[in-house]
Amino acid sequence: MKKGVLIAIVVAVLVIVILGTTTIVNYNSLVDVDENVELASSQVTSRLNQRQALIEQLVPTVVGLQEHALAIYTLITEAREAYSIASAAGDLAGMIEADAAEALAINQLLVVMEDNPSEIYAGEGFLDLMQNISGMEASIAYYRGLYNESVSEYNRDVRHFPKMIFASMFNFDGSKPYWKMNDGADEIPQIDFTN
Amino acid sequence: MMALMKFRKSISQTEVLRTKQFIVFLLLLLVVLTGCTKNDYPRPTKDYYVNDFAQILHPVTRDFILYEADNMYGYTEDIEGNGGTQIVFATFVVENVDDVFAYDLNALFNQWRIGKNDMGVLVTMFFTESVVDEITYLNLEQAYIVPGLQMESVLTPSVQEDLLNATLFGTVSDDLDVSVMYLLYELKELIYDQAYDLLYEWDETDIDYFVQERDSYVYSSDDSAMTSMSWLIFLLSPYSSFWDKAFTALPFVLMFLLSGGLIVRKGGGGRTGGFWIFRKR
Repeated sequence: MKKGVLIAIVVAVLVIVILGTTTIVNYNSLVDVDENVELASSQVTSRLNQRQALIEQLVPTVVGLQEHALAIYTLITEAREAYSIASAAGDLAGMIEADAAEALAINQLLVVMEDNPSEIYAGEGFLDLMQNISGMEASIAYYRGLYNESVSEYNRDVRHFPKMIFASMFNFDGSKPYWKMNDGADEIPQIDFTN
Repeated sequence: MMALMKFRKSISQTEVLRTKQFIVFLLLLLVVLTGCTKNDYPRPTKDYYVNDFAQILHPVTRDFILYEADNMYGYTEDIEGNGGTQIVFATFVVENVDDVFAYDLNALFNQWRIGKNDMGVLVTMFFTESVVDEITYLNLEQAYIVPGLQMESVLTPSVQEDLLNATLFGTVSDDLDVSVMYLLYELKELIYDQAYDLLYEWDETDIDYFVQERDSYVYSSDDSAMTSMSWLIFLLSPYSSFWDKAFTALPFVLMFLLSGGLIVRKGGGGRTGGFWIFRKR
């Protein structure tokens, strides 16, 4: 075999090995960040489901709320229904929006409760449930942060060169949505608690 | 093959030495870089269960916490599924109350990897300083109980609130050390009962025993004794050469890293889900 052919074969093998290794490394890296997003997303939705369960326990304890608190409570139940529909449809954007609306309404209810402890207390277990919901809100916020960090890493990876080539080659999503809390917030009407 | 043989033959003793030095240098660089890993919060103390950074707890309180927490971990460690409860106490001094909110307790919990099977509990206490007649006092401002992921069903935010209100912020005692002991015993009883369905009995005589031990405690110079690290002093001294430092340090550093550092007791690898609330006094 001629020396030139041998060199060509060696170079070709080297190129194949380098390309193969690069492909494997980049593909695995993309799978890792994609899985991280999925994991973080499932952690948030798991927490949201737990919050749903807590709110459902809250329902029987809040009969007789005053008008302004009842308005917030109505918002919570509406957001809860919206979340359930989005969750059943696997609509992440809808879940994020419903979560934002629900979180804002719950926070408003917490504020009302803190400002009017004697008026808002509605039934046995109400305060415990509100504290647990408050803790769940903190936990959801924590997991939202983790989700957004993983999304940020994913979005950077699929846009960076050369990973963008492999992301496109293996049909990874172009970018994933952040869990933005201002989405849907504008839909919550401001309530005048002085009435 | 010939080229390889020629290459091998051409390596001189000096080059071998340089290669060895280079490898050692790379190892040291790795060690230095590992040591430079950014941690937002201090590492736990060698006692692990008691991290009294505010230096407010009595030595006997620290010993009792250490004994009780270590005992609980040992007792529950082998329970399948949810074994390995670790109750860790940490105290911090902050300049003002608002500084408390800058502490990411979830990050601290996860950094310390408290509890096996996510069965950890982190109790944090924050103090501010006040000076009266040139004497510095520490005032308890905030306290939180951060549960591990699998401890959440036992230590819900409302239970956390009740425990803190009944002990550290309650009327059980004006004595911080006694209040801490009440909290520890209450936590143990609750966890044994709710998580393991086991009976843990304690009563006022345990508190009396603690007070008795504490009041009869004689302070000694050993209370603040540091672990002697003579090799480190040698390494830091100007009397050793660079290679002395490198070759002497390497085995210790490797042992240190492989054994998980100087900490005898360490975390079980637990994580928290952040299921707790910033409370108001």
